[in-house]
Amino acid sequence: MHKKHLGFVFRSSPYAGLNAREGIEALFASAVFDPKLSVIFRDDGVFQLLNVNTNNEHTKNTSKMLASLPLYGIDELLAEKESLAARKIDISSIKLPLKLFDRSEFHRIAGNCDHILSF
Amino acid sequence: MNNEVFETDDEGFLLNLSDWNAAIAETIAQREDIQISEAHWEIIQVIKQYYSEYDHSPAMRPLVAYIKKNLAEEKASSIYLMKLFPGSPAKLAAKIAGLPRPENCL
Amino acid sequence: MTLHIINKSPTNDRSLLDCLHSLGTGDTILLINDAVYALCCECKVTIGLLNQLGEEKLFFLEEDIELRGIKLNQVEFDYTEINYLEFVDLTTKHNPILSWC
Repeated sequence: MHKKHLGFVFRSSPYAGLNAREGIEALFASAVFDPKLSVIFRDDGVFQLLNVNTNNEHTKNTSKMLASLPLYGIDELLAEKESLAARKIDISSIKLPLKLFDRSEFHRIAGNCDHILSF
Repeated sequence: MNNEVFETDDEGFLLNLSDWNAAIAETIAQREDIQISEAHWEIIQVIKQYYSEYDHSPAMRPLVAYIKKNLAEEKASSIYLMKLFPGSPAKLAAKIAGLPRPENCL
Repeated sequence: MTLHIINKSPTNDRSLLDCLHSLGTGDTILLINDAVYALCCECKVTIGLLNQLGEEKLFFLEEDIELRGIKLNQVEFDYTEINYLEFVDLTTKHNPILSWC
């Protein structure tokens, strides 16, 4: 049977609202069904990639939650170059196995998915 | 033997993570008809370690992957976990370890 | 003199730039919540305007910077980090207070 290919587009910064958290939880929940999964970080969503070491008792540490992605069998983790550059994010400090893509490729990447959820 | 008072939610998950200790783990396990053995403790330790590293309770798949990486390959299987924590291993192990309910667990 | 408080990410919202373009002489800006991402901002116009304020007139809430894991080694303008007590202090010393929402 054809495996569904799900795309998760993370566009929200991690701590301003619940959007980022909800996206990660939806991703974890979807992984249970073992679809093909692509996770795409762009716009302010790339801020989720910054490592946070301090523990805050009021909020979950989303960077810690994201660090577990390789254990969930995610097929590709992608981040948009332009979004990273506009925020001076140096990906050498990021531990996740990220692949970078150009903004012009987004259309094609999205086109490969059967269904896309944006958070 | 154990008169400690601790609060749980309707499903028996500990409300305050900081309340947790071995005696409480035994009590929660007994409610689930589980007698904790060395093999259980091992998994409980691993799932607690997962929680402190990744800030959430794991579903089955990441738990198995984590056990493979941090404990032993032969213990990294759902069959092994199913024997120790029958029914829903990730959920039961989290409960006994005093962690929140895995939100993505079926 | 006015204290402008901004809480939105400058890469996702115009309030920081709009505020910077309409500042009065002697006004102070405090950046909190997602607005602290201004520290990673690469936009030359924003950086230029922030640079004109200097550390006496430009404040960032320390706790919000730490929570977001922002690296401070590339910041191209001067500013002051403050804690919650200093935040309160700042609000008592200014009138009016304009919260950009």
